[in-house]
Amino acid sequence: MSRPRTWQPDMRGWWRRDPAYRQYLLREATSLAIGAYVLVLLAGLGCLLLGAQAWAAWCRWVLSPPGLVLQAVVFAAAVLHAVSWFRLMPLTLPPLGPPGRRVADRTLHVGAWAASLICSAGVLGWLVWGA
Amino acid sequence: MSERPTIVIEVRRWHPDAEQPPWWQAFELPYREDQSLLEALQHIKDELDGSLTFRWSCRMAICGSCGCMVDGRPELSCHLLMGDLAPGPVRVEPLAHFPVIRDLVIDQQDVLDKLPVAGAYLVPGDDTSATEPSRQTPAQVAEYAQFAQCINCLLCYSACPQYGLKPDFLGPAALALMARHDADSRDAGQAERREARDATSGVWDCTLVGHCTEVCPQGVDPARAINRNKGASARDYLLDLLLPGRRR
Amino acid sequence: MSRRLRRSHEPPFWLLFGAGGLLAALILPAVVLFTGLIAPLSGRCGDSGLLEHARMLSLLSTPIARLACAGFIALLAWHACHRIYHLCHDLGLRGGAGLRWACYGTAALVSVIGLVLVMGLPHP
Repeated sequence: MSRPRTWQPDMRGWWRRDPAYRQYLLREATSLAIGAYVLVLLAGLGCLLLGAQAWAAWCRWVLSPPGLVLQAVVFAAAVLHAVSWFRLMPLTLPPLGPPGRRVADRTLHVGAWAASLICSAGVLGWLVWGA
Repeated sequence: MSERPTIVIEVRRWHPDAEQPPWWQAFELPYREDQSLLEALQHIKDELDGSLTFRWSCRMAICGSCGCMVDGRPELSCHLLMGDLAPGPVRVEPLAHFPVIRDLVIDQQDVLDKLPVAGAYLVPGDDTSATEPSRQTPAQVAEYAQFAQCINCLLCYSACPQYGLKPDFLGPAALALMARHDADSRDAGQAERREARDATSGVWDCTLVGHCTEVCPQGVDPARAINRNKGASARDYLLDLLLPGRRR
Repeated sequence: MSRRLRRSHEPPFWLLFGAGGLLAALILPAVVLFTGLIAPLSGRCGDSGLLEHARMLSLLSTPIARLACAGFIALLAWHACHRIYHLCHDLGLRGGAGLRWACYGTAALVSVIGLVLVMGLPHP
């Protein structure tokens, strides 16, 4: 059977159709900030290996206005990432608990944020008092 | 005439025999607060321009025929009240990501072809007798009831940019129906559906935009159905890698 | 109508993306808070305070700490590169296999470099 003659709009600028799409792209764009921060950490590791002088130079850059602005952006991206990640997490999990009494999304959200709090405290504790 | 307020509805129109590209046509018409957008479109067809073409049937959001883009969002036109759309203007377009046959009528053949690929039907197990009813407990029904509410209105396909960008993607409704049958205690077709689930056009084309779930008029939550299957697909991928000969 | 189905090789990349995403959601804000706010407030950087060179080396002196540090950097890299690859696709950049190799190759490279660096750190 032959298909009828049709027209179809293309996908150019599809994110303009709905604010939900722009929120999605913002969520995905947090990866750019996280990627940049990974490179900063990698450079820091390299400087640490090179010696005290190189390490001091890295520390100066981290404290410089561009370094601080970058880290402010990375912090905002990391928080946005955490919020969206935990919000969507229940969708990606298999049904938990016995049939008929499945674990509610709300329980998972609370559990995820509690875990985040504990892990963050642990990491900060190690970084501040670890040595 | 009455003193009812009027509203402007702009409709994206196209005719296959017309020698012109798609165009916008504005209609000004009287409306009531409790009138549906579908009724307003019917008013246009009856009173203003009989050539305006669109699908509709039940007028009560259960047949899934009257889907269209309303101000950029996929909606059932019978499910929107003019009172909520006032003062307008309201922009009505055919559902996104589908070939348009004429005006608001789209060609849904692609999705119809994908439903059997996704195994969107119940595959009875060996223990199911054709003469005996297959009983389920309320808990067993609750496992899939949400995913079973789909009316194939295709709003989720219009909400999904990945379907628009990758036309091979099986898409939200077909993959939700896959999960619906996988979760049904009477079904034994999970193994048959694996190939479609694990394929490049299966669950892995989804990036969890999540708009499918937001626009679904039936509360099906296709985003959950699809992403729940990613874990299962990844598990099978690793097991097939570690245990050669496990599959086929 | 026949439709050829090809198996997707997304799962391993998605698992790494997911692991990195979970790790980032759990502790990344705290780590950035440390390098960007707490450490600078603790004194002159590099010479004294929390970011002192000898102190950082002693923090990263145990094999577990070193592996955790390298793993953190690697998983974040896989997470970011996976999303950047899909972001390019979403924005209509048709990079094909080249883009795929560039993105995941970068993640692999960062992982290896991170591991080599952290294992080469001198003991204090």
